[in-house]
Amino acid sequence: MRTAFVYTVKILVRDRAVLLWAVAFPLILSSMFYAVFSNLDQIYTLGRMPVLVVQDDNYAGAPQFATLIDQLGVDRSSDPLLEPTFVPTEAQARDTMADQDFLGFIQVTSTGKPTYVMDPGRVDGSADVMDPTRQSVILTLLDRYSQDAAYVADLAKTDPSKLADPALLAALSGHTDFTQPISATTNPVSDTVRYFYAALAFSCIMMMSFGLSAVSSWKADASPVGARRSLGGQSWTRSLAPTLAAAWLLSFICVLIGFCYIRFAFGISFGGKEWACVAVLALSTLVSTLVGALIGAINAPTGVKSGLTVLITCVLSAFAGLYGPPSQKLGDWVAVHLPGLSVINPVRQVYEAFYNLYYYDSYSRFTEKVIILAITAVVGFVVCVAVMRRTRYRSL
Amino acid sequence: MPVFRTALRVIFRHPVQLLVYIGLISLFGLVIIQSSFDTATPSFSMSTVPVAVIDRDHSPVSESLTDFLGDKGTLVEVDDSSQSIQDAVAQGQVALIVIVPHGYGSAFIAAARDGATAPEVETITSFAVAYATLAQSQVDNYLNGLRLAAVAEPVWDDGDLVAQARAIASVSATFEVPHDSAAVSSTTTFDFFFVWSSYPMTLGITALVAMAFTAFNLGETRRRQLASPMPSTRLNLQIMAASLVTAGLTWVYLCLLALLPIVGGAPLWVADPSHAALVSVAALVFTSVPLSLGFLLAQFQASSMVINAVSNVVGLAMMFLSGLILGSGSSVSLGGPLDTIKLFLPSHWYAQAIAAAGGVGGAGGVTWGTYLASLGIVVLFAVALLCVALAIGRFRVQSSDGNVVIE
Repeated sequence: MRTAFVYTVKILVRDRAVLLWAVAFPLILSSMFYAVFSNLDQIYTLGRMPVLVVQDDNYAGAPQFATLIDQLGVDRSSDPLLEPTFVPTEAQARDTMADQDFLGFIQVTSTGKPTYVMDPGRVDGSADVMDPTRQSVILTLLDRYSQDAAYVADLAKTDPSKLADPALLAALSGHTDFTQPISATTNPVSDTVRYFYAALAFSCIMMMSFGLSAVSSWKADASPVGARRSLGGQSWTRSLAPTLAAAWLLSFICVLIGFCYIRFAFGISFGGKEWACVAVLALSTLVSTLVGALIGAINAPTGVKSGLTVLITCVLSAFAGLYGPPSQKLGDWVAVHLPGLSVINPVRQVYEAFYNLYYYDSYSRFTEKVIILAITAVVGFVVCVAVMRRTRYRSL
Repeated sequence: MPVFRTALRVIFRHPVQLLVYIGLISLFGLVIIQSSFDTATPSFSMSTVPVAVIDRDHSPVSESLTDFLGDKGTLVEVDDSSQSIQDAVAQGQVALIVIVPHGYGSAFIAAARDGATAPEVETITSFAVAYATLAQSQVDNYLNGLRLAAVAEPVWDDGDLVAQARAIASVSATFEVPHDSAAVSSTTTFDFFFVWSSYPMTLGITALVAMAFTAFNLGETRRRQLASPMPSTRLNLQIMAASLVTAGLTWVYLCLLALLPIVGGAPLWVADPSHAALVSVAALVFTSVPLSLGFLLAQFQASSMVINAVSNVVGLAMMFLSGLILGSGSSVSLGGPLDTIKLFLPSHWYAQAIAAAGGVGGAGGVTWGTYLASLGIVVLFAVALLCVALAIGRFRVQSSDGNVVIE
């Protein structure tokens, strides 16, 4: 069995194409993700929202509104929400909005109320998906001013004496926040880590190629090596077990290289639970080796088999969010509404296992994923045995 | 035309690549893009945010705040346990969790009336920071109304105050969207689909063309061809013709997907057919890049596994590095060196051409100069790749005495 193991490792390592696919691809993919997504969390925040403010006579006549704009745009020490640019007239605001990158313009009407005019290209259906939310936030900020003004007008009608109350005037001045952000998860919520977890989960399933190649070297009608091995007089269990073990070991090493690269070269956090991650990698590569072995056992041309691995890898990874925000949305939707489909998708399970390690302080969710992966591996193993035992060949 | 027919046969003997790379991935993009962009909505509607309120106070104030947030967004039930709260945040079920502590309502009203600093509610933000900011502003607006009412009416009980607070917080600022943006919206969807399609085009056409040329370059096949009376130029032209047919069919498939009402009955049709034509032409021009790339890849006589790997890497790299995955390539800035790197990617110029056709990011006419220049750059990329491929091919033929069989 040891000889079979050593020779299978040699056969697999000598197949340069498989090695390239297995080692280089995770490294290239994660480097690309690092280049693109390292500042992703900034892209998906509001940032400072660029708006135009018409600074005309009406604006000068509403000093409290001017104070609000200053507070939201300039004075807010921590993170100013608005980035106001002042223009003297409405016509100029419309021209500037059309030509440049502004969300819209704010104007004080002759009645002293603010009106917000949005850039028609940056509302629902805008190329930047965050634009409708940005517009909603700007409107909600302006709502506060309108609400204060409407209440003051109401009081002026019903009981004007209250407007002289210094406590009320103090409450009306300034834009106070009443919320205190706290954190519920062990590590800060981040959108960026999801891509790296998806890339790693994708790399794990890609290791099917090793299982596929290993079984090709074992099956009597799949390669000359397989034909020679079938004549070796060894029982099928004693020859298949080391073959699969060799494939699994190489898969595990390749994924581990990818993992170390992501963890140490890019400093992507796994919640400080690296050893648990290594366990997930070991289990998931076992699943992919067995899936690869099953594909290898099918009686079909090599092209069809490698095509099938591509098909499985691409489709399953789509639900783990590999292809960006739309694919993440789809994966999350399926996980919530069709949990059964997520359970049978090992890529999603690996992705969620990393995700759970990062976010949760307890291991309970993570253990669930590990159990699901272990069950998948057992099912894979049973099917493999059922398919491969007592294989008969019409001709070699 | 036997070579042409054989090349087509080789291509169609890779049904998985045809089905997955071109068929499924394009369809996947179409479905997702159609669901992300609501073409039926003509203008602006306030974003609704999924919010959860953990009410530990059970006072009229906390209940009224919960109702108010339910009206403004979508209320999600989250249990008051650390596991459920972590679940809701980590899985993105909610954008914001508001925790109203015990005794908050009476403490808030007392502080407002005493002129003291108002106590704060605790909030937990999910990764959708923008949505959380929106919900936070709504909470602030409601509590601001409550504070005003509490100060102005010092003798009212909590029930009257929360009713007044709701009345104050229901006032909205006026807004205007200059003109109906329905056309802009559907144009954007149409454009975004085509911009995104650069990925399946790169993936599919590159892999299939590389496989077709590689099949003809295999040792024994090559020797038989050289022994035949057909000049190699004619032979290569016929393979090229089969590749062109593949690229053309891919393009037709994408156009049909974009123009026919396949999903949900809502077609990605545009109000302006000339715009649709310009975008489609840009896509047709872009197919020249994966054609050349496939030809280049074939010069290395790689196995189908390497061809698949390389076309995946190149396809993903072009999509990610030019920012296509985050929106249109022309409008999303990735910052730093990536803004420079994307200038060297044909997919970026393709997205530029589509943007110049009067679409993504706003209405407006066609910027012919940018449109033609961008497409020119795309063609130059294709020509450059073709030249490199021809040079490598020539070098290979001159330097090797035989071709290695890999498949």
